[in-house]
Amino acid sequence: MTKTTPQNISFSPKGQVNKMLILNRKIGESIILDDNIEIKILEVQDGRVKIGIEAPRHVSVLRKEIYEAVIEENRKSLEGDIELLKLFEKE
Amino acid sequence: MIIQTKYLGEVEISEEQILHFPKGVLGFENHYDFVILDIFENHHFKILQSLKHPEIAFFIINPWDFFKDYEVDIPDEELAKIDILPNKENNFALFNIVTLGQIFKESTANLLAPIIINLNNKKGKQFILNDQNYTTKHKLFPQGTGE
Repeated sequence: MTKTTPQNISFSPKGQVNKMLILNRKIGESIILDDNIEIKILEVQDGRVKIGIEAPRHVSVLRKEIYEAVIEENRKSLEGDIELLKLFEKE
Repeated sequence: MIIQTKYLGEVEISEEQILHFPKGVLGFENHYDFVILDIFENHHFKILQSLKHPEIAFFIINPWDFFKDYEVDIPDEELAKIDILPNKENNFALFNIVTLGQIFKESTANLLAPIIINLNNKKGKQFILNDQNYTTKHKLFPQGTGE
């Protein structure tokens, strides 16, 4: 039996309340999202969890740190100085 | 129409130049409309300028101007999000955002997350490649060039 506990209530910058649903799963058990996405716990060892994901091809699955790296780089790229481009035309 | 830009002051653009990013650019999810502007003094770089927010403007490149071997592999299902479909005559443009360094030759391109524009309907999206060869920071000028 899966227990659900609404915990970790955090406030996003826009003031919305984001509730994180927390479930307990054992190795070999799954979670189904939106009828067609399955997230399965395959292995737990030394603080690492191996997760299997089965989802339709149009669902993009990304490690969060990669997503965050792109967001950070996009933000950083706004600090550029156009004068550099005017001075250095590439050959 | 005349728009306010971050780097070029007031610029006149036509409606046909307006690009629509249904999901914005990553980290800027509320910015849907952009235009691409030329930099008169340097034709290797262009500017992706937000229509409504002058302060949001990215420098972009055609990646193959700098990285001849760059390969982009995006699943059909992802491309379908901007209506680029297999078995259809597609007409699209691809570019990458550049982060200019304090020194020009330290500038980098984000090859992990190209932006693709469907030129038929002007829809754009930033994709994240599932390819370990690419990161958010590739030097535009590997050592010894670009001085």
